[in-house]
Amino acid sequence: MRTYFPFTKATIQEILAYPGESFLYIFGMTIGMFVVYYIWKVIYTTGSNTVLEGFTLQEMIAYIVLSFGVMQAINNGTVWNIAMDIREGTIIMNLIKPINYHLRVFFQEMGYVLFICSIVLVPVILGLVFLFKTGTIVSMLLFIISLFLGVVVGFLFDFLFGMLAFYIKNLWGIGFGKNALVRLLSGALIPLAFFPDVVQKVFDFLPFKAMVYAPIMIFLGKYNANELVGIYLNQLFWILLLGLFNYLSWKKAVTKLTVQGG
Amino acid sequence: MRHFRIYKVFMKQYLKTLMEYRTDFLIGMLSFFVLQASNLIFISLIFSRIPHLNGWTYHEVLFIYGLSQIPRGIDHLFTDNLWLLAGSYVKSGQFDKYLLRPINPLFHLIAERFQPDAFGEIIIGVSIFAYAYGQLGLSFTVIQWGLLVIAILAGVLIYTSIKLIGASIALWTKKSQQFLFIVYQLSDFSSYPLSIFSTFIKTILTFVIPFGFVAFIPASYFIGKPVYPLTILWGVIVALVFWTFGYQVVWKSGLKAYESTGN
Repeated sequence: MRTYFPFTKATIQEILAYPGESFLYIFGMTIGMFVVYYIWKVIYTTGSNTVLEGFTLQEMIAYIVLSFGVMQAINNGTVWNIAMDIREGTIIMNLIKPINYHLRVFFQEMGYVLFICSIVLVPVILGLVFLFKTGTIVSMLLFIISLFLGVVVGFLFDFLFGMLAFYIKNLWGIGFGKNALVRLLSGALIPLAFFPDVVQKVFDFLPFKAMVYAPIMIFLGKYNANELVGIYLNQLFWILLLGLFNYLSWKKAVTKLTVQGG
Repeated sequence: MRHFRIYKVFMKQYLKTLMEYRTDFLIGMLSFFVLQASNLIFISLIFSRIPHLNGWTYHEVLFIYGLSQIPRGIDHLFTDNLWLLAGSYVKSGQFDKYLLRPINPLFHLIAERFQPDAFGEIIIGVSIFAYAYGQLGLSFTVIQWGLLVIAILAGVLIYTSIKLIGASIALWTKKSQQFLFIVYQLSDFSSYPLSIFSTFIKTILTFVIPFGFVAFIPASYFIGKPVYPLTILWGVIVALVFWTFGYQVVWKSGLKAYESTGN
């Protein structure tokens, strides 16, 4: 562990060296959130419904703000960093050092995740629990565990995606496409409960639900004890499965790696 | 004419690289396709629960959405290099190159890059527009089709002008990508009926950063919603004013203020 913490620290220092850029970026991202917020607000205030798919307006607002924060944490730079390492050949520097590449990148990204948590997620959940009385202290703690597991699932998925850089040069396209895909399938755009039942069954067999939807539903107290355990197990299952995929594909890729320069 | 010939040469070069990296082209297009598709799914899921959104039906919202993506995509297709101006060209000193050649620097900058990713937006935009057009039972006259083309061109010019202004700021500050990103993100509002947003946002999107004229305002006119007279003409005027301001004022004084970072 002590070997890898400096990577986390380095990322945080990098962000703090130019704090303006990160703040402006996050500010820009909130615009999309406001578009969705206004749409829901109109739906609840002009329609005859006060509860849609089990969500009150207040819960829906909490969902929108939280999913925005969780999505920022999930969309850390993993895909981009791995793809760049592969493209630029700097990956070779990691292979000749006695450290695990996956762990290094993971700890590096945790710096960004911690940054997002401290400026977005922590204020949001404290505000929701103490000011708006949405969610409780217990659900908050259960959420944090699930959030962490979700971030790990997201990381492992990103890592697989980033390895596409072995075959594809359009790194920007890879990152952008991945974000769009995760945004839809994880419930960041609209709660998964709004999808038709058949589609929801399919989501149970995909890793995306574990990233955004499941942690937030835990926060909102939508699961009973049994379901809660089921969610945690589901997240652990995806960590194991994606971890295995990563292990196998990495082993294969490294033996084939050709670096041009570097 | 000379510029047209030069553009053709740049385009030829670009198409050669495109043929070289065909998968990349497809991936880029696919990415924007997924983004567009997910927004559509969002709209459809919402309308499966409610009959109308503040008086706007499903097909009317689709009409606005589809129309909004067409100018967005066309601008994206041609002027993507403005993002690189905002992000890295000034900072890295690469911008000097454009000032040393005997062609208009802005033309050179824009002609250098052609972004086929944008076809993802254009194809989806046109398809949704056509679908909504059919479902709403509209039948445009020749004049209306003409006005539609004008409205789309004005929309493109509004996008390009706003991007130019945002990117030109880098000529003073070396980098303006984050600023441009925020301004560009505001266009997300214009894909939906403006009437659902707060007065503050409506005012900004009409008078300050006029994305409202890109889709919502012309779409209201074409659907037959009550609008003020000469709607399309106003859009054209706004576009021309912004372009003149962006090019003659911001870009040109930016060039004067520009100091190379060295190369």
